[in-house]
Amino acid sequence: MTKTATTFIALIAGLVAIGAVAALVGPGLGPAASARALATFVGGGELPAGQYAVILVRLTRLGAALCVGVALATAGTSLQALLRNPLADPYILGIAAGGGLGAAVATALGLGGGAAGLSAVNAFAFAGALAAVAAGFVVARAAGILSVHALLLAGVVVGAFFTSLILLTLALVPARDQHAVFLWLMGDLASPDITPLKVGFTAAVVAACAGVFVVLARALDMVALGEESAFHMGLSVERFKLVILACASLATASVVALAGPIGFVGIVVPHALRRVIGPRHLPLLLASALGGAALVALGDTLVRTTADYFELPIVPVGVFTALVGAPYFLVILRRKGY
Amino acid sequence: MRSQLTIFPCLIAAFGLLLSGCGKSATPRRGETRTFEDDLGRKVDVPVEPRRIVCTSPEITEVLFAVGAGDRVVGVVRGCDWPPAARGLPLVGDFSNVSLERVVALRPDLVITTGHEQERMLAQLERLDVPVVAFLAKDMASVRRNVVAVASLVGEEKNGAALAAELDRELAAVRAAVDVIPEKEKPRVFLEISPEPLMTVAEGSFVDEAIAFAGGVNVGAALPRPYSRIDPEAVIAADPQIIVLCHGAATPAAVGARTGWGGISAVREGRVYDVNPDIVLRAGPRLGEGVAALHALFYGAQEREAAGK
Repeated sequence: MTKTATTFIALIAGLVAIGAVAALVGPGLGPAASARALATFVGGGELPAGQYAVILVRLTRLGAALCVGVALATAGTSLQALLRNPLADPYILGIAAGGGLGAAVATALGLGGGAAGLSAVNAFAFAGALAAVAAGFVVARAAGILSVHALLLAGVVVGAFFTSLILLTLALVPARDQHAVFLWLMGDLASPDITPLKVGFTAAVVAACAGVFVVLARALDMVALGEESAFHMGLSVERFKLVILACASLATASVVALAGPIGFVGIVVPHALRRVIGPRHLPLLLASALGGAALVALGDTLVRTTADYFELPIVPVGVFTALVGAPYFLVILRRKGY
Repeated sequence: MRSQLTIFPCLIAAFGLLLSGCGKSATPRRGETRTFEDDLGRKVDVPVEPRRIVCTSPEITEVLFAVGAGDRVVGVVRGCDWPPAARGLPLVGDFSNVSLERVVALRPDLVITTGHEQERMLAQLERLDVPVVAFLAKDMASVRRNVVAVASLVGEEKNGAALAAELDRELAAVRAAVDVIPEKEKPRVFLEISPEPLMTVAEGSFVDEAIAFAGGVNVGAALPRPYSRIDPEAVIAADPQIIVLCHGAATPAAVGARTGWGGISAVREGRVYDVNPDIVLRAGPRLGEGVAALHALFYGAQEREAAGK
């Protein structure tokens, strides 16, 4: 069996195992009762209201975690190829800061915790994330050519500027709203306002964007070698860059709007997997999607269940992914494995 | 004789100058002082009759006005919004971000703070020799104790005793009503203090005590901190019969629309209530009102049914 095949089997098995734990463990219902309830739920049978609600909450949260993982890992993989920069992650274009500013402004305006459906915080975060990318894009594009170096620099500066606006907003809002904004900035999936409808909408956007990445995997291989050689191989480079950039931004913005900027998934997962299955983008994107989904679901399940079991305060999942992701990234760097 | 009469006030003035020169304080008239031990165990020299009080705690501001010392309060923080007369006072900043300069500029002879989050300001004011005392209310008994202590601090002991007696009366009325309710008939209550993050109160907070006092069973009581995040799944599993929203940031309808919350008893039976957070979450003189309001929410419907029978 090839290394790639082994990796895929391991990823799928891991994802299934994590998904099972996520669906079966929690403070609301024991594992055995959860398993019975889940079987009835999947079989379309009648469940007592309380059990139905618990299963619905867990599956919604799991669905959100999978969306976040797939979006960040595939967008990260694509951007690393497009920008030819191993440090590229989905947030490098200022999306996290833009989304954060949107959420902070919505909270400051007293629009937080509004009616379910698509609440103001989600909408503002989505708009803020796209505004940040658009700003970088306008700066980096001149005479129909998009300079990826300018885009990177512009993204960092736009991110810094939006971050300063977040700090300004934080300084102006009352203390209790600061707490909500801080939590949002850490990336969290615990909100009861994450509804199946929102997850479904996000999943559709993420699936479409990830689909585009997969379809364009060959082109990503070409562009990773350099824009000029890609051009000579017959790729319409400028249009291709626009499509990848738009999809990466859209996918990232939609999950940032849902759960806040969950860190390090988009940078660690592609790097870790590139070491084992090589630089070809078709397998790398598919593996990244699985690995990203598994990492976020694992993190969220861990923070959710350990808080309950050890009677600790609940930690946002973004803290876990950063805490694990950053040191792991350093290990990869040390081995020069990227 | 005449010269003696003129020299006497001069002497007093000179003595006053001497005194004001001795103390580094910016206090306009530094009268007699006495030692007051505050809730942090600090022994502070405070004026016997403070005339310019800056208060950085919303609940103590309420106490000051309730005991008749409101006209001596010269500065407050944003959030000191009750009684309405407190709203027009000069602001010295936010609850967790007090401007030291503004406090000093008001030339207070007494600053009253809380022990929460304001330690840094406390230390800075100590260095400037401004008398500063801190009050902490961790349980319902200390709310009453603070009413009496604040009243004595500002020389309004009689009003303080009357206010404490009123608080006792309000609480006794609720206690009498709750005492006859069998434990297993008490409703399970989820009291939400923030929707995002989802937070509630647990054992160790006076609000948890107030829920029990009002005849409810707090479903979040066992959480690890007095004010704690809670997993939404845990709320669903606890199936509260009453949900009390204490933040004004989400409507009962929005709570009913949350994932999986539609089946919770409180939502199904329309017993999700929005209450004024200030009467429930503030350890001030309106505690009795807050406890009575909670009690009315817990038992109002049943009492109405009973009356109808």
